[in-house]
Amino acid sequence: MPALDEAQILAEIRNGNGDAFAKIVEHYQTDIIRYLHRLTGDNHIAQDLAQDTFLNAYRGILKHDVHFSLRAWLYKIATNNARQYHRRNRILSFIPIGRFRRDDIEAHQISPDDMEEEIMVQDILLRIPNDQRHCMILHFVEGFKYKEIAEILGTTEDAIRMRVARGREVFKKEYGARAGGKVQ
Amino acid sequence: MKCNDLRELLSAYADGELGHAELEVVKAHLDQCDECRGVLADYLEISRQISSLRTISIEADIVTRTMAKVKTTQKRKWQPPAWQIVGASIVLIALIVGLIVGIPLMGGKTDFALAAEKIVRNSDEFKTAIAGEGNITLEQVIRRGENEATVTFSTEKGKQIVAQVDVKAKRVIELRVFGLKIEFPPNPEFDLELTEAEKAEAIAIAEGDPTVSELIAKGVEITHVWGSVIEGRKMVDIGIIPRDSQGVRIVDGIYLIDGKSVKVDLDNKKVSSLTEFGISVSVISE
Repeated sequence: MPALDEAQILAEIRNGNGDAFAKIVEHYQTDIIRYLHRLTGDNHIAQDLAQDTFLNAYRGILKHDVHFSLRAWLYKIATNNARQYHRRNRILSFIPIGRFRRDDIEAHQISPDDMEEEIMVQDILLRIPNDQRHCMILHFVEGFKYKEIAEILGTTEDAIRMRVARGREVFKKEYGARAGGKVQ
Repeated sequence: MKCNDLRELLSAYADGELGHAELEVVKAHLDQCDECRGVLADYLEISRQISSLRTISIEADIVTRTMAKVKTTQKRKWQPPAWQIVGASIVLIALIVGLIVGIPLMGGKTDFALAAEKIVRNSDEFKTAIAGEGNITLEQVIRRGENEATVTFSTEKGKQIVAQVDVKAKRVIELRVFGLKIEFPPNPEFDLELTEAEKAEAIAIAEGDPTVSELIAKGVEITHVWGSVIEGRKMVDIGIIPRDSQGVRIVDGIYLIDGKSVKVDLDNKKVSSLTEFGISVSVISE
């Protein structure tokens, strides 16, 4: 993906050229939707929340200076939107959500073995408590360091380290129960 | 150090997130502990499994849809606040009131409600408003006082039609359509097109006010930023609704939308007032 001259684009937006924001959406949409997909387990919900995320970001750009990287800031907004979504839907949280639909799988052209593992990993992730899952996805999938995650989630690095460790233990236990033994 | 106490450090070690001192502790322990080497291998495998999720492609194209929403934000013009607030309030209140008193008003479809609905449906304004709008659904009839009613319809295309009716005189007093496609005629007396910089400045002034900043800190959505000229001063009306808003509250018979209207005096760079969104509606069930 070509680099984005973020400072230039932000300046254009603040000067009234809202159309420049399209470049930001174009650049980050896949990452943000994929991330929200991991958090919510549903592609359609992820797309809706991603639109809200960009809209919030657009309004935010007009109001505030983005004090850390635009990418991390978008993840922060997306995480908050996913949290709100979970809060609104807490009554539904007893229902297992987030399995891939068959048409999603076919669209992605994954081999059957990878597909099986992908479904299992995704399913186990959804059983990990939200705060731990957010950290694990931000770190393992999105490649953020603990320090950046702490900024995104508004907490300390120590808290992130603990959540990742606990999340790993939950994952290990769940995976072991399914695979009938150790991880792998 | 016991192995169980090392789990958190091992996890951070696997992620390359340990400082020098802790790194040495973990390395020394791993040199002499088979069990922890096994745990570390599991942890690294978990990283691999979860990180492999990134290979899945997501078909994403929300640029057009998102930018359409952004443009709505950009193009939202100042509209006569009275109608805008009253209209939005009525739509919202109609929904809430529908839950509270919907049965006596709608369930039985009183003669009054039926008459109000019929007057609107037969009016020319209504027929014009629903052209091309698909199916029309009656949402709510709210009685206001002795003879008047507010009748709300929704259209298949997503618009809200709100009509004030004088049932006794059998006439529509006023009918407004709320929806994305509607352009409100500008009011030359108050209408002030704000630049993005002016909007940002007004919001910054609002944020600088201690009471407003306390509200903002709790998380709010900005519903509108409207400009007007009042007594020669450039005023900006900013609507904010808390993210955890409970919707509408009823206080002494007045329906208050759970939000605030912040009036910013742009010339004197200060917040001049902070009021609640609200509307008084008399709801009388027969």
